[in-house]
Amino acid sequence: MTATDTLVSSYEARFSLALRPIADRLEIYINDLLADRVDDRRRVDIVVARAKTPLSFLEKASRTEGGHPKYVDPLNQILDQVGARIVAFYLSDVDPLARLIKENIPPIEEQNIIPDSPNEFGYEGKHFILFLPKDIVTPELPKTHCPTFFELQVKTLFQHAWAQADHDLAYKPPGSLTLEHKRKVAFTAAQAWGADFLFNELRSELAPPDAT
Amino acid sequence: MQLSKTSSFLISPGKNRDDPPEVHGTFLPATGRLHRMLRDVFDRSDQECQLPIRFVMSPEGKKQNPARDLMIAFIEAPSMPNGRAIAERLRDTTTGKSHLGLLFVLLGTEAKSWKLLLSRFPADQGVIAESKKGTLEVEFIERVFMKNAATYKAALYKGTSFDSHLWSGAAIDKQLNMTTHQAANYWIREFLASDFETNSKQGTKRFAVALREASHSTQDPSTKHELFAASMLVTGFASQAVSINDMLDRFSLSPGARGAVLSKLAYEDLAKDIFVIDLEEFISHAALASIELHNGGLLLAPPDRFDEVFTMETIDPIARHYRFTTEGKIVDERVRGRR
Repeated sequence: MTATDTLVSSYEARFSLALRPIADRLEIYINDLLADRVDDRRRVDIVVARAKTPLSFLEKASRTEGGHPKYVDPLNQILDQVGARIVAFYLSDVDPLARLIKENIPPIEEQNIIPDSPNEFGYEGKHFILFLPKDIVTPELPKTHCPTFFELQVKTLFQHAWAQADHDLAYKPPGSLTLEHKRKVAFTAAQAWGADFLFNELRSELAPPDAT
Repeated sequence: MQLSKTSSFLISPGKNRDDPPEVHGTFLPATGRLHRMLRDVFDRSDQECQLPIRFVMSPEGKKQNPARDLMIAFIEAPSMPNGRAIAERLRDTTTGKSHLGLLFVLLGTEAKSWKLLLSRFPADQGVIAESKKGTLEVEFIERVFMKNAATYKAALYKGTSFDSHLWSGAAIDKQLNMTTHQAANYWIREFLASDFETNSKQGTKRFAVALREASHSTQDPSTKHELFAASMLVTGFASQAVSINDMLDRFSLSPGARGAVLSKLAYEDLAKDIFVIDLEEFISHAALASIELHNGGLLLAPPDRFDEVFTMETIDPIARHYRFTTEGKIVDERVRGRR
């Protein structure tokens, strides 16, 4: 059995015995957290949580950086084995939601992901690495397979839509992207950014004062 | 796991001092009575360190923590400069109130596993008495360092991965329940740059929801009454570090009421977690305190203000007959079905 086979079999066990039940519970936990705050919940479209599939884990675990493996201990170093996403309607909803999350679930990392240059359009969103709440990591789950952290993304509807399509089409392309492909991907990102910006403006102009 | 590296540092208070005292340290030999005593401390730390803690994120949102960085450096290279860096951090967070202390940095490693114990023995004064040739020599001594003192503190970290495991640990802080939190804060919050594993909102919500669900599900009026009374008493514990078990003990709940609350937790061990009570969070989740009367009357008020809102007079204590009065401006009225 190769090291990769051992890693895959270990992750497959983790996936079914721990990650999937944890992801299901996490989705309920976050929904419940938002339901406590009606003001924050009313402009949230969906909350989803998922366990990283063995295929996706293996792909990430195999990445290299400067010719060397990026992860020497992928089971402990890859922190998004459980991931959740909160999709909000408008840009102005993202920060209040992020604050609510940080106050209620301790973070170890918070990132505002935006393109490097003001001339670029691409992936955007607020990402957190958070401690998994103890309430959902119950003692009957095998301790060795339970991660300590999960990743949470807070996105707008348009950031979410763009990220989903981009992930499907461009993130793992069968061949390398041509210049025209890259320009098309950037164009759709710019469209999504513009739609978010305008909807946010419209909302602040049209929404009744008590809904702001 | 075997204790493999033992270092010790004398820590003088240095917080807010322009010219903090120098920290002196030494590695201790792996033999002798002191080593045996420290080995016992190291071995027992798994049982003794029962307070789950976690490092906090950097203010910039980076996956970085200054105390954690020093511990990683020491585990990777247990040298005198790396040990002294930990000791200097403790000096820089120690005020005059905490006096002198002796810090032991104890490390065990085994294959990929490590176990790091930081243990602070506070200084005290004492008397030494020795029989010598038929006489007794009694001498006053300063700088006696005692583990069983009320201000003994420790922090334990163990695991195989810095990424996954060296973000949380377990501590001893015997000053935790002091009403003046300053003394306790300095070990966990300032020196370790950490917080309780369960944060204030998580722990408070967990407790409030368990009390609420327990009172909703119980059919027994006296249990219900106990739980409502407990909800009202929580207001007296605002901003205090407690566990659900502590609270249930302090309220002297009956076994039935206690069991009802514990059964509403995801698992019973959650009742041991320490957190700081957030009163606003508690009130937002707690059930309204209510009293139902035999005539159909139902009195409802927030648990923290129930006694202010309603005045209760006893008419007949044996028949449990009471009169309640209140006054106020009507802000909402539900009249449907009223004849």
